[in-house]
Amino acid sequence: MLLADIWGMNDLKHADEGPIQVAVLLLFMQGALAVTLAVEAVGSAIIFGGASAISALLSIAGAVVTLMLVSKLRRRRRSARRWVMSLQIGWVVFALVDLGLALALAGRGLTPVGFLVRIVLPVSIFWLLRRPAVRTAFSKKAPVAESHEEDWELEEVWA
Amino acid sequence: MNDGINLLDRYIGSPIYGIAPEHGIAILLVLALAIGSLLVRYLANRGHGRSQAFRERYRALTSTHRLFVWLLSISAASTFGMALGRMASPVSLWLFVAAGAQLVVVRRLLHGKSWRRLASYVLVAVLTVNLGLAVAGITVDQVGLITALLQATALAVVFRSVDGGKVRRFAASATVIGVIGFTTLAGWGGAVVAGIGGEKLGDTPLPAVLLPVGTDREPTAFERAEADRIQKETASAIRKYEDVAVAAAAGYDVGNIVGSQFHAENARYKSDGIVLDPQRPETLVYEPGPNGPVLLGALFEMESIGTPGPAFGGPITVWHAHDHICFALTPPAIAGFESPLGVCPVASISFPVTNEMIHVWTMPGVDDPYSELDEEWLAEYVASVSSRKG
Repeated sequence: MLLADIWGMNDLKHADEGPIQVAVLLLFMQGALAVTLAVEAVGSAIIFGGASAISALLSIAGAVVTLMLVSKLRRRRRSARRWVMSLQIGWVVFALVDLGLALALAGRGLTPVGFLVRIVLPVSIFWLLRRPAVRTAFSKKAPVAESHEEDWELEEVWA
Repeated sequence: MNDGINLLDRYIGSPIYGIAPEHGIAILLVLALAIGSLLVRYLANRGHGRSQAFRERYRALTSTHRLFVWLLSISAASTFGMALGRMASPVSLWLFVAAGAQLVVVRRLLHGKSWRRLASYVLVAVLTVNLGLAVAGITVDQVGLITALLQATALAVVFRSVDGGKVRRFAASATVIGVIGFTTLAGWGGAVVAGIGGEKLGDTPLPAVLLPVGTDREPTAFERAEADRIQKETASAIRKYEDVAVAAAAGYDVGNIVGSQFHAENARYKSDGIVLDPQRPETLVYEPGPNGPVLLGALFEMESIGTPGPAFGGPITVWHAHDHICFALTPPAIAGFESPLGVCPVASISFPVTNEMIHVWTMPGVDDPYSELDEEWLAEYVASVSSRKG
């Protein structure tokens, strides 16, 4: 169950892993957005038919891959960090292409939500995963430190 | 190429891709929040007691909790601003309550009190009620969407430490994804409801449609006659294209007619320097039928972006353009409209604005040859033509 594998993130292996948890959270949000976009793409494929079906299939694949990467990043898989960073570069490159077209043809930029989702979100994830502490955490087995994050709050909500 | 002017200022588009004027104050309040946080930091560095205490409480938080504080503070500021912008509406009272509740959650977190249960109740309530408002007809704009996304991310922080069975964790993921999905769906729904019938000057159009800025008026007798003449001449000129083989021989792309109101373009006519020639329409429109494609009419198109179409029929013949069109690269084709979330399907690019164009429906008995077709009437027409063909 891919979606069930994302949560329960009170599993800090090192006291400096806060940025990883934020990155995992933001990547999950990116995955959630990708799921919505995939549903929209399927709707478009039904209406427009033909070639848009390929875009819809690629969108579904993109959503699944993103959610798989959330799970792998959470488990500190070394390759996951590189894949996630590559994915973020892809997001930004496509955003810049659209931004260039929008500026050239209409004299305007991306929509505010588009800027947030396509530039701010991927750049934030990329930046978090580039931090030295995160790089160290993914480069070798870091010593297990005492987790001082919010375990105590679990019972408060879900008991 | 654009001449440096924002072309979209010449058009009215769907509010879902823009910012409602009454939400401008929400942006100002978010900026004020950013300036306020810098001020607190400055005062804390200067030894101001309360600012220092505030900063210490913030620094004691974990990374995700700091993120949560920012998400909910920005959301509260934006919600408060939207309430101020809608003071005349009863919705403003709800927005004030929602903003206040979010600030209470932030305060509890900063003061080390239990906050998670309250946060989950507040966020679920705020998102659910706002969804209901969108469904009830309050149009969602970009400020509303950003606020909802921030709240959904805050909800993900609340659910972050969900532990236990797989069902519970699956439910946590599904809830966050569902919130984003339903918010987007409500956005589409509100925009479509606001844009239905929006074809005349001054109307709000459907998503991805742009209408020129202007006001509607009664057409003159000359304009009525011109609109009628162009429609009749077009109907007569394109009748031969009811046979798609003839259309193909003339250069129309009729190789794979699929989907509703398929547009078959003629690359030669699109760049021949001639506009609004009934003998050479840039595009033919077909509807797939059980016994082959049924010709519905033609689409005339300008040759460059930003050039207004000739208003031969005055307010009867309003040209339109499209914005936020997704264009697939695999292979090249229209892949849909840009999501309110600002993204197109994978491997497609967003086309910001198109040339102006106008449909001319040539079917006998069509109610208005220059307006959107009635789906029910169209289905009956296609069925009757198909039965004759069969």
